[in-house]
Amino acid sequence: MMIPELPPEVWQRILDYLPTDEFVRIRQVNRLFHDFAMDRRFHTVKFTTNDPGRYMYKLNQFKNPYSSAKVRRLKIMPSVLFTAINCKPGGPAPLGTSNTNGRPSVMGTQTPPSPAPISRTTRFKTFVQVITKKRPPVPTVSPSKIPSEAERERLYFSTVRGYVGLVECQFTFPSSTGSGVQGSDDSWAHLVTRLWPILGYRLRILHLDILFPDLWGILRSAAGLKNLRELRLGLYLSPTSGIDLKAEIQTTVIPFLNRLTATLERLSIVSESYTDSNFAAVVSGLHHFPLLTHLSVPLAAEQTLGALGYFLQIHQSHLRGLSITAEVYGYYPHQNLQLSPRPKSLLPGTKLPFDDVELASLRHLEVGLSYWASIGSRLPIRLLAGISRNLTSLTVTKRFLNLDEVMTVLMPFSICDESMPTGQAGGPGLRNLVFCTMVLSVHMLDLLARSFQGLEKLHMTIEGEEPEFVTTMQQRSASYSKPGYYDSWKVYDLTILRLVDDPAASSPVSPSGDTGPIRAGREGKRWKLAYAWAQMYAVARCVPTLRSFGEQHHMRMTEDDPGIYVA
Amino acid sequence: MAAPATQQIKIRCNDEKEFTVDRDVLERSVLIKNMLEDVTEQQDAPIPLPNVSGPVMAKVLEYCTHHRGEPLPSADTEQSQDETRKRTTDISEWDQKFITVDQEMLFEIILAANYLDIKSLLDVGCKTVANMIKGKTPEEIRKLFNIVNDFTPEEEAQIKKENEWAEDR
Repeated sequence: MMIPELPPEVWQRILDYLPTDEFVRIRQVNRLFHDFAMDRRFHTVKFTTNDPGRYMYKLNQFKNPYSSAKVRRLKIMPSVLFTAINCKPGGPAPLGTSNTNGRPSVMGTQTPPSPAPISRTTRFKTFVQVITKKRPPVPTVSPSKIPSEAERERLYFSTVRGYVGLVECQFTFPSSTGSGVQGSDDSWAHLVTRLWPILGYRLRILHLDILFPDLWGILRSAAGLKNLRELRLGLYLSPTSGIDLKAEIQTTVIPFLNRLTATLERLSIVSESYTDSNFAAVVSGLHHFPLLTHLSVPLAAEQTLGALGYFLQIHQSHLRGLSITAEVYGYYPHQNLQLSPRPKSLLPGTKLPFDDVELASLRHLEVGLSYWASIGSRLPIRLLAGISRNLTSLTVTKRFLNLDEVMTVLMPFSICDESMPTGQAGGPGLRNLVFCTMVLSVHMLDLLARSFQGLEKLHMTIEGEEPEFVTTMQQRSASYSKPGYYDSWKVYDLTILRLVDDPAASSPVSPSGDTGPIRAGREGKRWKLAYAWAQMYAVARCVPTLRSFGEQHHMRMTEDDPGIYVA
Repeated sequence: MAAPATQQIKIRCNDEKEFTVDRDVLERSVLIKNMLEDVTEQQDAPIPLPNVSGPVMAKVLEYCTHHRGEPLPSADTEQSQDETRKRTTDISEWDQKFITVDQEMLFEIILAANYLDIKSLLDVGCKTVANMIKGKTPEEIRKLFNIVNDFTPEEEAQIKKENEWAEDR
């Protein structure tokens, strides 16, 4: 048999599907496989251990410049790295059991905000470890072979200098301990300051999830970021810390951001604070970013709408993705949206924050709702719908909508919404829709089918469904009514996830994938998400175009849950 | 409701075998879709496909016919969705049956999907090969896919010596 040769790019695609543990074997096959395995192995390097033995073991891996050149992403916890370099061999207690540098928390007695979101991969790894009770052995260098502090620091910078292919850097603080581990900027800040001349010009992507006041030091020292395309900036601006935030915003945050105007394409500002005036100050101070296509901001109160409206206006010609999400930790008000059928702000003659905005290029919109609902203000969702008529993808997170809210929140995005002012509706219509609902009902599904006829992918997270949902759908499919209920619907892919109480699960995560409670009444409960197979099959019987569940491109039931757990 | 009549397109493979196919079936191939969009007038001459043989094209068309009407991956699909998709090697029942062919045909289908730019078919093929690789020794993989070991003995010894694989980075 003559087997044709596959080109390298196809082999790469094939090997992409293999789990990392297969790479021990496959890198021994030939050079091509070896190169690919090495690319994957050294793609991401994390300096997140405070153990000098572990730290030296990591550095030793990069004695070979071939390995160093493979590194694309670098993750650093600066305070932890500082400890690994400066403590005595055999040094500090492992992370998560004590304060590693003995400094008081900068957050005082207040609970710190949620740390940087835990990645799906980490969550999955933890999940696997929990269920298998299997932990890999931790390789380390024996204390006798650990060099002096000065030598460890020198080795660190010479190693990082070798990362010639680096494109992404993530600075973060330890998530397992929360407060207490972060230092002040007179201790480890010099490590970061020395990194900028080495890494700055290489970076395309930068994530800064550092608590202040350490953040100010990092922002002030940042230099050489001439090629930065993507920035995620955590502004955890707690008002109780006694620091003049407004002054820091004006003198540190805004100048830092405005230095990036020439290259930045994606800007994501994460905040967990209630002080919207601070955020408004940040947005008001920003210049024009001519290449900006994606913006993610923690917008909440109406006072910030004006600032955001102006920012959107000057970027309206090229903005393709917008995420407006409340990043409020530990807070979920369970109250109905109090909205008049026609918000006052839409009455003719009223000057609106988004009056002069038309986001013609916008395709993806994500809206987090809990904060808006909590302040009882007029919901700006209609404003958003009015300015983004060419959307193809809408995601609504952080709130389980009841049927009324589904109508209020989603219908403005329907191309056939009659309540919108004349001329507001239009555009090609949504192709992807993601939202959470309290109760899945036949009526809701009918409404969606009528309002979003061009929909291809529908993703719902539900708390429950009306008792006769499955039966009704089955009766419909059995009645052979012509035309069927959903004949003109184009949905191809359906995902219905249901919240299931699960004492074995760890802390909850919200369906949007980040930490934080789902809704009142669920605090403290442990739960997981699972596919609602009966409901998905019931819908599939009635929707002739459905061919796929859970974006898997098939409709077979699997034993696997989506694996959305958190440690 | 009667379906509107679709345009028929002729294609010619490298072994002169010709097929006449509905346009929407052929448009699963991004290559052909782009070709057809570039041609404004209807042409009777068949589209030549010099890199695909008749038997392979027949299989490819079987796939395209089954999946006609499904949405094509759009250009503005966010990368993260693509990443999520890549983590699974699950294949639907019909695709599984379809791709159960001898290895030569499997590789021919992958090459054709790559050339014709049919992403979903390429994925099915790649997943199938990835599933074949899983759990096999390097020697078994080489034998299975007729891969030449191009390491020097020193390199091979060095790679075997490096056993740092289990640790997390």
